[in-house]
Amino acid sequence: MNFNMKPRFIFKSEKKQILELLKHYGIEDLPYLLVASGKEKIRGYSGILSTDEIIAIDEAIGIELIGAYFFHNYENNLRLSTDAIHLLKNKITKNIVNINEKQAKEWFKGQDILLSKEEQEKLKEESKTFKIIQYKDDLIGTGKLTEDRIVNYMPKERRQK
Amino acid sequence: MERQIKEYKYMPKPIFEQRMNQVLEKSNFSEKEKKDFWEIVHTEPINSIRCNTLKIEPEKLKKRLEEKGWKIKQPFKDNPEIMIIENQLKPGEIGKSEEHLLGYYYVQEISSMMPILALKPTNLDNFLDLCASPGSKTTQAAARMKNSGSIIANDNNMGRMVVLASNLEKCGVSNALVTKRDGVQMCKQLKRAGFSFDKILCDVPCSGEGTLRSSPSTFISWNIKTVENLARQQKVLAAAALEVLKTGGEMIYSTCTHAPEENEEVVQFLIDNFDIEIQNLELPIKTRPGIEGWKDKKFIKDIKKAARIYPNDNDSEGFFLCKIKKISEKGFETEKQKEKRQQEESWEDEL
Repeated sequence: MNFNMKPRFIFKSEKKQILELLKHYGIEDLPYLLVASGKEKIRGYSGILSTDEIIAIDEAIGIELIGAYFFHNYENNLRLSTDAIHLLKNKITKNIVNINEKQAKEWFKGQDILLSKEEQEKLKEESKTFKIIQYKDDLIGTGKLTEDRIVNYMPKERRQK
Repeated sequence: MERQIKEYKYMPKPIFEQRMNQVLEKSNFSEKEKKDFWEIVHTEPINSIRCNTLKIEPEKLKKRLEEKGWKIKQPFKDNPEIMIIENQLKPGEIGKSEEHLLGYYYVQEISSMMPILALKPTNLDNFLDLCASPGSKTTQAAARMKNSGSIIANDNNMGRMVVLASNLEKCGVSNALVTKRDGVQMCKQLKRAGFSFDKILCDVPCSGEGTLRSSPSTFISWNIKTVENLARQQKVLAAAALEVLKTGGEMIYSTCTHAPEENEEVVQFLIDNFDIEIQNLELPIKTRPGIEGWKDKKFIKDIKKAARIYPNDNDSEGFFLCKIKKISEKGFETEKQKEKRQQEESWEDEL
């Protein structure tokens, strides 16, 4: 986490670009104030304070973090955080990969999901980008699909020991 | 559920035991209740969790946990998010489940859920959680506020703030600003910048007499000097918090200790220095009224509206909370300022 963030708000034109990128997941709107955290991370704030009020609070007492971590921008490919997925779950309609129980167990331990020949064949036509991982009714994270696996980005502190 | 009685590894210091018995007597404990108290503080606390309604509905979570073989009880009809796990779990199981990793529930002691139930923050409130780490009450507030309104969650220690931030993240809290400031300085600076709050939780660092079940080492670490020092700090912190509470706004002052110096005495100090009122509390568990006096000190009658939670009354940990409403902006005065004001008022009367 990047603490002591100087709020850099993401306004209309930049937000429009982000919304364009979010279409990858089927997300059409994002009713959050977006704030850049470091070079590539973007956080979402849903509270009622205005940007002016947030700036004034930052000037008065210093803000360490604003809102929730939403996504990491890898050269215009957005990787949604596990928690953003929950907040946006009703908006996510595309690029979802379903996994089985054994794979889910591996996923929760932080391991990559190795794809069988059959699964590789099935996902052959899929773009080799970020996918939302679904197990039963739960959206459990975001992984990057490659030829033979889905790369796991689960943060260490959130892995099952 | 069969209670796990710990070996009496830690015995209370005689002075602690004597003081505690005096407190229990002030709270009208019968001999039988006193015996129950001293028995229960040597037992493991029950497993309680709070469903994180930002991510899942209580009934869905209950069903999922029951499918894993957990026996779930929802003790309060109006608060289905509060759950007790009645069967024995394997060590660490409660923190290792997929539902926990996904932030579907927060492991939280029942008595520590009471301050937010009493404060009732809404999606229109500006809410300050002054000593927020590890974030149990902040995440509970965010869930009640449906991730709207505004939360400032503060802790003055870097390590604790990291834990706070991580828990907010895991619970999907998106309406909070996290700060790392000394609480007193922060309130002063916020006041100077013109900020005030509708609701404040002032859940202060305390001597932890209420947490003997989960932290039995408190039996040996407890000492009266610490209680007295903490009481001084608590007064300053609570007074600073009241300075940034809006007129008509509400604040919960709470601790996880039974020591009257850290509870009723702090509230009395606030009453003496601010234009405030103690409010009635409606809580779903058994509480006992605040005590009306301690040692040579007498407290305001309304202190009875404060709530003392004793472990043997609800099979919980111990807690103290008091709901305070700010009536006007009359604030804290030093003795010198008070003297000056009284002198000016007497001159005005003469004129």
